[in-house]
Amino acid sequence: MCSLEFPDLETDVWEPFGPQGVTVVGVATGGFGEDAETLAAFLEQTNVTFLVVWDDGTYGQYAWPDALSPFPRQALVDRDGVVTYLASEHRPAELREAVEVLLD
Amino acid sequence: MRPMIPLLMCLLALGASSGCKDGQQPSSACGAGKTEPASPWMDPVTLLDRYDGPSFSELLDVEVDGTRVWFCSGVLGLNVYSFETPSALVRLDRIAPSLGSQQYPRCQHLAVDADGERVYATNRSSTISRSDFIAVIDASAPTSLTELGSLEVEDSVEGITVHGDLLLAAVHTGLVVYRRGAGAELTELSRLEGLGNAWTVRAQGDLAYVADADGGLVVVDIADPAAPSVVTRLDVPGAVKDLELAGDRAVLAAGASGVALVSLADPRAPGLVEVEDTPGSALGVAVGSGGAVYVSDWTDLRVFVGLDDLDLRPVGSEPLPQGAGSESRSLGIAGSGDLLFSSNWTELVSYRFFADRSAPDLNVAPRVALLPAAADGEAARTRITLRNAGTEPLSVSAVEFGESVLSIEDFPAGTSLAPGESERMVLQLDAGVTDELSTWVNFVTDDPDEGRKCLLVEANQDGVGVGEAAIDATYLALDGTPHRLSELTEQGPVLLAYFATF
Repeated sequence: MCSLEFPDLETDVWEPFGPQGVTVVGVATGGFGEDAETLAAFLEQTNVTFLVVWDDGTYGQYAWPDALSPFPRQALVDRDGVVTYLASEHRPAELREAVEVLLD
Repeated sequence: MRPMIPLLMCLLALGASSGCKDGQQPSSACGAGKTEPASPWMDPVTLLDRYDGPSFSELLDVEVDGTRVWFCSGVLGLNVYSFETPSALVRLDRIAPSLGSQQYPRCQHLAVDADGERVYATNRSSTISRSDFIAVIDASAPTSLTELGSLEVEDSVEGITVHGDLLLAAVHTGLVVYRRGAGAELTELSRLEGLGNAWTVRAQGDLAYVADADGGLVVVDIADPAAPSVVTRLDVPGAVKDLELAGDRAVLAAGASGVALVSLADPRAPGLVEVEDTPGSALGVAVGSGGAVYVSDWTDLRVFVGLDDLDLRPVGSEPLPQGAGSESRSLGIAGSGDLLFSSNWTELVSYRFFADRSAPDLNVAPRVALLPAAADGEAARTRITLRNAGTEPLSVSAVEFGESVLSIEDFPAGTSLAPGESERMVLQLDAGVTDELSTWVNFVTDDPDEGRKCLLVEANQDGVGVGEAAIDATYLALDGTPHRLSELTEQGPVLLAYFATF
């Protein structure tokens, strides 16, 4: 996700759905040369409290819709490890609905 | 507004692209060339003009001053246009402050003083740097902007406003108060810390109102500008990113929650009246005449009425204009009576809102339908939702498919949706179709704005798709702790949010 949207995950997903068992994982692609220092400074600015990890090459292995669209990219995975939602931008209403389906 | 210089990098990194989303219907898709269906309705929000800048100008803040509209551009710097004839925007001048890069000025936010003589523009020093400088521009001759000076600050300035002889700056976790002197003089008087994630600030009388994405609406007493103090905080659902004051009420852009209406009957104790949901993420808000509220909602514009009687009602939406680029987003917004000015990643657009018009307004979700993998012999299916966000009944006269292998279940032509009504349906791909597919579906309606609403459809793309097993990778946290996806999913659903720091 671009920096504009990334902090929104805190309020849009992590705060409402974290207590219900949803895990949010920010996956740093490092695709623009970010190092640990850059990433730490960025996270300090954004104040997010969910888990942030480095990608290990999985980013390019998903069938993202609208392949020409830039970041963000989101994959929602259910308890069985199956992808239930893929998006190439942060669409909070859609994402919320996709999460709620998994919590029903 | 947040730092968005990096967004340009998103675009540059991927290059220009085209697609048909939310009304953008290039010739290569969406059945272009067909005659637009007739509609008995008149569009309440009508595009008037678009400025003539180059692509990817990365427009951010927009402000109106008399018959001039100002905007910050990451690429072009500070710009001023005349809208004496709103349908023919005329550029008066633009300037790139001397402290920044002339090629990439990174103008972020702006504020115009009461008499239009001086404009303050915040600029980012570099993409990674969070320190900014505030340029002071002499605007007395708008066709010949002159830089009076600049103040370097060790802050990430996210929003500014002029209030009398003060300049107020929302700086992430704080509010900084400057005294405006003659010329370029700016003297820091005070610094209030303890805010969560301040995006912008407005002021009225002795009070400043801060849009705090983490803390809602924060009221700050600035009667003594050398010693500001928090009066109260109003919890608001969502991440508050912009606000506008209108007498004894305020409207807030509350991110994913939509637009919030707040009563300032007691200006020191604001009360949340209502929150109207929007499908995108409300980033900017402006107030027009007659109680109109204009909202930039990330992927489109939203117009509401009812500010005057404290009862917001949606009137309709306006997609990003054709040619804005499929990556473009609706960011800044400003209002002047029945005119509204919207910035997106590529351009400034002027619109007129006709309060006496009513019409249906079709919204389709998702923006791109991705058909999941299907078992052998079964059709691939995905759910889509149509919603009438307008004020008159919507009639769907036909559905057109880019490929004959697509169909929609249980949605006969002639279906009508009442204002506010939604209809869910299933989009289906015939069994046995395994080729990669990028195509479209058009909904032909009497929406006067988009008689053919295009939905992109993709199927059988390379890689792991919906309905397939996610990659059970082991990711390393920043402290080196391994986290395997399958261990995380044992605790519940997992959202993998891929991001970069730009």
